[in-house]
Amino acid sequence: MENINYIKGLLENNPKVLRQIYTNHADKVKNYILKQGGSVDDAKDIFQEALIIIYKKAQKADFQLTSQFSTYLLGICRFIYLRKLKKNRNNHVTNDELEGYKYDSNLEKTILDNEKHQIYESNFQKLGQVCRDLLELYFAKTNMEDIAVKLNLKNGHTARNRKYRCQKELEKRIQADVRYQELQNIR
Amino acid sequence: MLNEQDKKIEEYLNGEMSNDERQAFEAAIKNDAELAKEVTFQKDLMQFFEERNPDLERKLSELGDEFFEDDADISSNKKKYFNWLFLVVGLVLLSALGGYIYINNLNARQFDASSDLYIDAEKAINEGMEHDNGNEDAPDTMFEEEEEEKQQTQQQETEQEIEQETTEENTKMDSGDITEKSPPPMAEIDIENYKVNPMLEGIIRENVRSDGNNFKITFPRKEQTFYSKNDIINFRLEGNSSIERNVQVVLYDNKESSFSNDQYVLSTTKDLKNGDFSFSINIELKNGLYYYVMQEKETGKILHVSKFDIKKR
Repeated sequence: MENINYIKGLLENNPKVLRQIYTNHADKVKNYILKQGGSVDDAKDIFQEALIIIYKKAQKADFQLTSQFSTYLLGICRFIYLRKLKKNRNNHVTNDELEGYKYDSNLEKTILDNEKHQIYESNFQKLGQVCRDLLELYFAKTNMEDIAVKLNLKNGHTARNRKYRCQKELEKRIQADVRYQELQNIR
Repeated sequence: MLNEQDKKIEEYLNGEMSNDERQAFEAAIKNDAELAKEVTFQKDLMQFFEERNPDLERKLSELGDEFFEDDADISSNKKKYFNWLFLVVGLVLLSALGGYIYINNLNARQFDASSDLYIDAEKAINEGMEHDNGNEDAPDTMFEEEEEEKQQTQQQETEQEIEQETTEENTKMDSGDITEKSPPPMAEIDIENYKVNPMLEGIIRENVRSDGNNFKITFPRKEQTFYSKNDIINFRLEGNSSIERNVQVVLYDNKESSFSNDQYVLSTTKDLKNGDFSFSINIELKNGLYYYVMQEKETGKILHVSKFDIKKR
């Protein structure tokens, strides 16, 4: 069944299926966003964000698709777009309008988390190569000795100290990020 | 340097503490806002690294660039030009159509109200274009159809769109005077109105599989056909719900674009009590296949999707 293929392909990052998703659904979302007064770039970002959100939700054990994939995708895009409007135009969109598109109670949390993660990502990318490699390996549960060997550091102890400094650096950058501060105020 | 606190946070988040240690640490979090903030942040960071997928992001971003071309600069002029062109072509076709209707249907209302139609036609044509967005070649098909018969078919479709829009704008129940007194002159138009919408067919299947038995529709029956002498149909829904809920009923015609652009024929909400329900609504429906989607308002959960069709006697 098509629905399951899309979800499976998304979870596996299967290029063929990802392309299918764009081929079959991008125009619909683009038309919707343009009709609502958004730009093509808005549509591109929202579409990608929606797919990432579906990907994240699909990883959870309790994930259940209660409607057709296209309906779900378009619904999430609508939701993200209305949220963006609300954020940018200070409550021009009422909560009621958002309620109508709430597909499940966790959706808004997933979207907020994802916004936060986008801020993390952009700050993470500003770190040096060693820091990025180190943090990626550490959070992928690689042990410190192995990290030291891989990254050509003296030993596990050095790796640990380095990791600590990198993490502090990332933390400092994120907390200085205006977008992050705004997001903290929303919650 | 790695201080004691960071080490503890790490152990805590990795689940490496004994029960006693964990309880003591949780108590410390409660009393220390700074520590609590730090733990939350590190937890978020952990979740971020667990969930991030640079490979997927990169692939999506590439596809995004390919499928969402920013053609605003190139096409805005082009679009204006096409809009004007469409307007002119549309007006010519409309006059032809006016005459056509006059002769065939003796129903010249649309012709008389041509100034209203002018605006609606422009809108309909623009919307048609919007729908074809991203496919630059699409507008050309207008010009390829040279036989007059075909043009009329297309115009007839535009007329239907206009009619639909008007119906939507005048509160849906309004019987108005926009009725089609005689059946469409060409058989293929009729067939178009009964074609299934693959997108909604998908949901019908999905729905049957995923919905529990706390909601049931007993009328209309599955794929029921309604025969009617006039244009106003009494659309009645009967069934039962095992819980109280606010349900949204949305009725779409069979066009795929109607559903994907949310151009419904009717949208209404009903408060259902626990038990049987029955409600009906008078609505003007043309011959064709219709789908109705019932959703729980609060959660958006789809409760029922089904179809029926209308045949005029």
